[in-house]
Amino acid sequence: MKLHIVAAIALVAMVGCKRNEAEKKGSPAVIADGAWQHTEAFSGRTGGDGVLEVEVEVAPGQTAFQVTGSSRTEFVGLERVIDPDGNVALHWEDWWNSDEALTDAIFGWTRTVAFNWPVREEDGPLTPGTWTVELYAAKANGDYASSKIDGNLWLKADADFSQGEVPVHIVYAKGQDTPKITGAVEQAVEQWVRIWGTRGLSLVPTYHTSDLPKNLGFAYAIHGSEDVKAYVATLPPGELVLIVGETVDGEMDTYGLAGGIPGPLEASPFTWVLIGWLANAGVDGQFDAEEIRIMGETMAHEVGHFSGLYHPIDFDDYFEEVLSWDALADTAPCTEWQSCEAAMADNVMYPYPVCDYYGDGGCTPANFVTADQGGVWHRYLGVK
Amino acid sequence: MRLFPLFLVLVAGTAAAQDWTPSDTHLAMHRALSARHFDGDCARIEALSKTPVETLSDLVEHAKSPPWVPMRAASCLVKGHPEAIRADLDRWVTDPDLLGLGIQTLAQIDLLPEEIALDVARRAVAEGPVELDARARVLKSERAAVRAVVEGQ
Repeated sequence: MKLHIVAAIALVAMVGCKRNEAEKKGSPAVIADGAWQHTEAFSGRTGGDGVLEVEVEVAPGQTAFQVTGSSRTEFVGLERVIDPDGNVALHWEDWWNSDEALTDAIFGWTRTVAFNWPVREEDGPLTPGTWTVELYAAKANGDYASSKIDGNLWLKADADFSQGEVPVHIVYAKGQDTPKITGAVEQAVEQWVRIWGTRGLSLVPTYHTSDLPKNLGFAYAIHGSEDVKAYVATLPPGELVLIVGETVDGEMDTYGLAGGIPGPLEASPFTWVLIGWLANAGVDGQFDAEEIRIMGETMAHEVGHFSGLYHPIDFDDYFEEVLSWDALADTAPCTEWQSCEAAMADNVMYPYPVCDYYGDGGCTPANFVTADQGGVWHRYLGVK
Repeated sequence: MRLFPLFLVLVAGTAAAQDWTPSDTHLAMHRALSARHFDGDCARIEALSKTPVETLSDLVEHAKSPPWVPMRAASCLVKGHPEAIRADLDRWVTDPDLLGLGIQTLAQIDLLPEEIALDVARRAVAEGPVELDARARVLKSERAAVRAVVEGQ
């Protein structure tokens, strides 16, 4: 995907390239009169430079927006964000090779993209007026492409970024609603509730059964899951979805996974956070108190990704080199694993649980959320 | 008096666990397997040890937390060293205290050489704990010969 850089340089030099503007589909579809959350659909085709301009009309009192876009044939990503005064608020080039991570939207990993703005306190507050979000379509080799993009604009009026309510749907895959699993999951959700509650976020979980496959075999499918999209479409719109399977993609290598950083709110092939209960239960296949606590931390962590957070630090495979940091000011800017563990082992987004080797002493509870991390969650459109 | 042998077994087991001391290699592999987002690249993990089968087996046996560390270690053994762990595979699919490993092993049965897969399937179906539901899991194999272990009964 680094070919995007070359393609961008070449395309910017083109004379007379045309950018197309998205057309709104009819009148805005308000979820409910006076609701905190508002959405409307758009559709358009990328122009000669592979870019589609989506206008976002921000009214006074609206404090954050999410733009989603999907193509049937090409990869979709975020090019730029322009504020009402014409200033570039975000440019993909500023983050592509950065050692800090702000949003995966710029990378165009799949045919569906979600972008939430503002991400951090320093990115806002959201100025009323017309914002422009530029989405690009690209081929698998990174070349910009002409493609129809359908999407949705989501806006919310959330005057208080210190208190919020988070509706979340816990969905059991087929046959995974046994007492052993549901008992552990519900206790783990309580742990997740406590962690997010430390930053004023009140989770409101509801539980569902489904016929989704228990191996969650769609987890790494590059275009996601149409079955999940169809299932999520049956739930209230604009709310988080966590699916519990036996495994994630039939493998033990993954015990939890998020459908994006951030993830899309509308029903899409990537509207999911996945948990594989077996890897969380360990070799005996039964849950003890610590495993339930860790599973709750995993839920908080994975939905944390979906709601816009990165690991505060990421290492190479051998923990010898730092690959990247998050873009937040109040997570420790450490540079090697020993000092990072000392500073952040208790952080919910730390890249691995820090455990006593034998397990006899257990793992450091990963339940701390910094103010800036909580701020990212509050700005996510799924938080009321 | 019947409790006496069990008591001895428990004491012996505890002493064995405490006597075992992890090396720096164990610690490095444990940390790598702890990662919340693991790409499943066992070769990379095994490169951390000069004796990967032994180190991975030690982690399956002794590491407890986070719970996915021993599971991932076992998964790497199944994928890369099935001949070396034949006895362990039998144990994993028959011991009710290793139900998680049993489920994982049957989920990965098509990664095993066919001869070993057939042995594992037979043991699981014949001696596996009820909760393992071995018959249903073996029937999901992509290999007709493995499915036949159940279908032929």
